[in-house]
Amino acid sequence: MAEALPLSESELRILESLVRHEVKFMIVGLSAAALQGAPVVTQDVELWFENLNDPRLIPALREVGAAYVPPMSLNPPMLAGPHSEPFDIVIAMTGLGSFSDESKSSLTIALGNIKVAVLPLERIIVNKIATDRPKDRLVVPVLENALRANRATEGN
Amino acid sequence: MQNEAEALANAPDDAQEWGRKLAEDVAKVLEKYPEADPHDVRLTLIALQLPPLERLNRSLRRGRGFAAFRK
Repeated sequence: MAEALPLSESELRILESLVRHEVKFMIVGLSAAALQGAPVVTQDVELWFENLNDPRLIPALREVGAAYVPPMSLNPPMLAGPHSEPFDIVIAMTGLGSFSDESKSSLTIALGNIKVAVLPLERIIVNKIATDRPKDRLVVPVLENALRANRATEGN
Repeated sequence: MQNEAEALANAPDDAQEWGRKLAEDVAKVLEKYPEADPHDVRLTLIALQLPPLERLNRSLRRGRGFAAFRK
């Protein structure tokens, strides 16, 4: 039997609904780096929303059986419901500008039939350096090497 | 034990061609960025041959594998 993909059609439907409802978000973190070829591993797809109070967010999620759970006590904001498990909500990107500033240089990458905004490797590196946890320090050289490989092969 | 060149010489034609092209591409990156790590560069170039969704799914699959191993 074929192994279920971490990001199957059902999970992609959540992204598709967000895009169709014109909710402004971008994929950030190591999942964004992996999309750009960086040899990194991650457990989640981190989504940075411009505005978690966007009135389009809840209908977009409801349509695919998911929901937005606002932050409560020690729990950060999160998505809930079937197929929302791979997604994490990011509320701040240390070392970066506002969502609107960063979105000007975001990449558009096709995930199957959906086109999503993705934070470029250069900006992921800036965020990891600024965040400066031990795990960030470990991954920065790998991201820098991936960026060099991307730059050297651009236009090929 | 075979060295890299011997192993490549005994591989099917498609694999030989793929391996040679990859080695050339890694060398081109290192020519431009001598400080780069060849292993990371090689893995990035291999990933860039895949569609983005497959790149992400590989990363997630491996990440969850590591997480399960740590439990």
